[in-house]
Amino acid sequence: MNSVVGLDIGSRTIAMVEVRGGEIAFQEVRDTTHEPLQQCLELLQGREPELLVATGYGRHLARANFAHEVVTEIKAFALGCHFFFPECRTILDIGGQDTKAISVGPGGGVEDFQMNDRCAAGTGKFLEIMAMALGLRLHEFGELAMRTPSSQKISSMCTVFAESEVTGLIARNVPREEIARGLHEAVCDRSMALLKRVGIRREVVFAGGVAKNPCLRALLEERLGMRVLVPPEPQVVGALGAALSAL
Amino acid sequence: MEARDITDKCLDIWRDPYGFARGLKERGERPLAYFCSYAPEEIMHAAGFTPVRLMGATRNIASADAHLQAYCCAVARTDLDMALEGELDWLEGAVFVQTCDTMMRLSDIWRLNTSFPFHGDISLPVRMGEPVSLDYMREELASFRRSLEAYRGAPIAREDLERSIETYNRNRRLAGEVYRLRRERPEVLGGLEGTACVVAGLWMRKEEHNSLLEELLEGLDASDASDAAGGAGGDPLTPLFAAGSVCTTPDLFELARELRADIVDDDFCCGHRYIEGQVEPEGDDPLERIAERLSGRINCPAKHSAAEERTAYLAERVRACGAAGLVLFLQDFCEPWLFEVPFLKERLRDEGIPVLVLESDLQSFSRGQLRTRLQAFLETIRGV
Repeated sequence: MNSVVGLDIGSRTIAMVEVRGGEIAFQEVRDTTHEPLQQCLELLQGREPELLVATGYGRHLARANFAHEVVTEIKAFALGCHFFFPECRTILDIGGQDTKAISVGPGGGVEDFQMNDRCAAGTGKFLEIMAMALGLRLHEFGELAMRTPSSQKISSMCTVFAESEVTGLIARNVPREEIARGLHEAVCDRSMALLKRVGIRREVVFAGGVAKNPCLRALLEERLGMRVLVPPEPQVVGALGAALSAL
Repeated sequence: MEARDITDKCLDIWRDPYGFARGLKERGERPLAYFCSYAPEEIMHAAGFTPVRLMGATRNIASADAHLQAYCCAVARTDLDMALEGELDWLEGAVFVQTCDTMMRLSDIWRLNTSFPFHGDISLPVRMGEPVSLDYMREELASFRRSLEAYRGAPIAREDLERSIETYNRNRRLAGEVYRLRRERPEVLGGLEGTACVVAGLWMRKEEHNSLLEELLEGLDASDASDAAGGAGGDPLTPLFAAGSVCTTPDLFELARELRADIVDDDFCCGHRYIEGQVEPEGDDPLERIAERLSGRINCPAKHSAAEERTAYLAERVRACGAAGLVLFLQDFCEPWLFEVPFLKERLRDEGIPVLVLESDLQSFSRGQLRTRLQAFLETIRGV
């Protein structure tokens, strides 16, 4: 097949990957906004794929409008991670509103998976709101958290409760980097629990938008006691996997 | 009615059961609520009441949270909320069979905070299914019978009780036929429609439900056309087995259909567990015979049973219906089921049966997340 486009329509971003001859020919990520369909159409402008496969929460919306096929994010991430790292057996994907732990077979097929509960506790949206509560931009948040080895324990994972907890810590003059570190450790703990439920096997791949966060990656490596592989552009792994599912 | 009209009607009832049940009182019936499939409906029916099942609703809670903690299941909380909000004023009372901790405490809270004319309690032995507990079970049923007799001011005649047993046995037989059809001819009667036809009977008098099921089965027998009652038609669907407590709404079955799968058999307590087994039609003591049926069924996880028993039971039923996987569909905070899940999941996987655990909360029901999980499970078992 000449050209296949994969679209991952997530809660926070939409990623598009065009695959030609089994290689990534083009990729782009943009915000989902309140008009995901419009964003998709703009992304697709000027492209004429033979096949368009959608994944992510908006996959059924895409299917109803322009996509030829749909696959779940779980399958898409398994294939996408396998493309970059054929030795991958365990995946942690932290996206805008979902965390998924996926166990993968040698060929990139899904063997087992676990997802977080309904709410966005411990996901990208959680980190975004906590960064805001500390007056930080998202990329500053992870960097600041890495500046201190000591952390302030955050016990709430509910976004609303954690925000109150952070407000209380700020009022007690606890250094911002310690609060930031505590929040990252809390997300890491939660992710570890999901990973343990599917079983942790080497190699572990960390993908999804949150994989760009250097602190979380370092904490995961420390907790797992092994290296964690991160794809070159972790946000497009789902879109890539969707495209690959058609080949 | 055509078979298709019957399945449509039953689906409508499943989607709005209490709206339908409210009409029973307007028609002169005396609806009496129960919550659990261990309720001895034959006795309630023989006393002149129409037993109706309360199994929660998708709604926001306005009043119940003042009485039940957030870690109680949404079935108990939404049932209580409907009662406290006056939405169940068509009921004459409620019967509590004491199974799980939440249900036991709900009985007291209900009694103290509502003003329905009748309130019944039945204690179940912890070790259901063992001969040693049969006498106790029979005595509980006798005590319940006496409380109903005192309330209505007249004894329940033996012939009325025998007639009710016969009506309920007939109901279970007909529902069993619906289940058989759904397993063996899914192109004629799909899992969604078949289950709807059985579940709808939870909110109508069994005589009426029996006529409906007979009409349905005759209609389906007469027709060999595919899609006769909203069956699958077209490409074969991936057969699934589902187990758990209750399906308050048809969502799980509808999602399966959307994703080209079909729940061909189940172990829900509003489904197969409800229709399992028969009361011996003849014998000296009708209460003992009712007790024997309730004890002889596979236990609800709220009751003690040997660890391997449910694994073996489910594995056998999954294989018998040819399902490609098992979906455990559970209510959030349903401790008895959730307590068994890790062991069940591991053991069933050892048996080569793919298992998916789905948790549902009626208050924050997220169809999108359920769809992703179910679709990913189907991708895995289809190997595509």
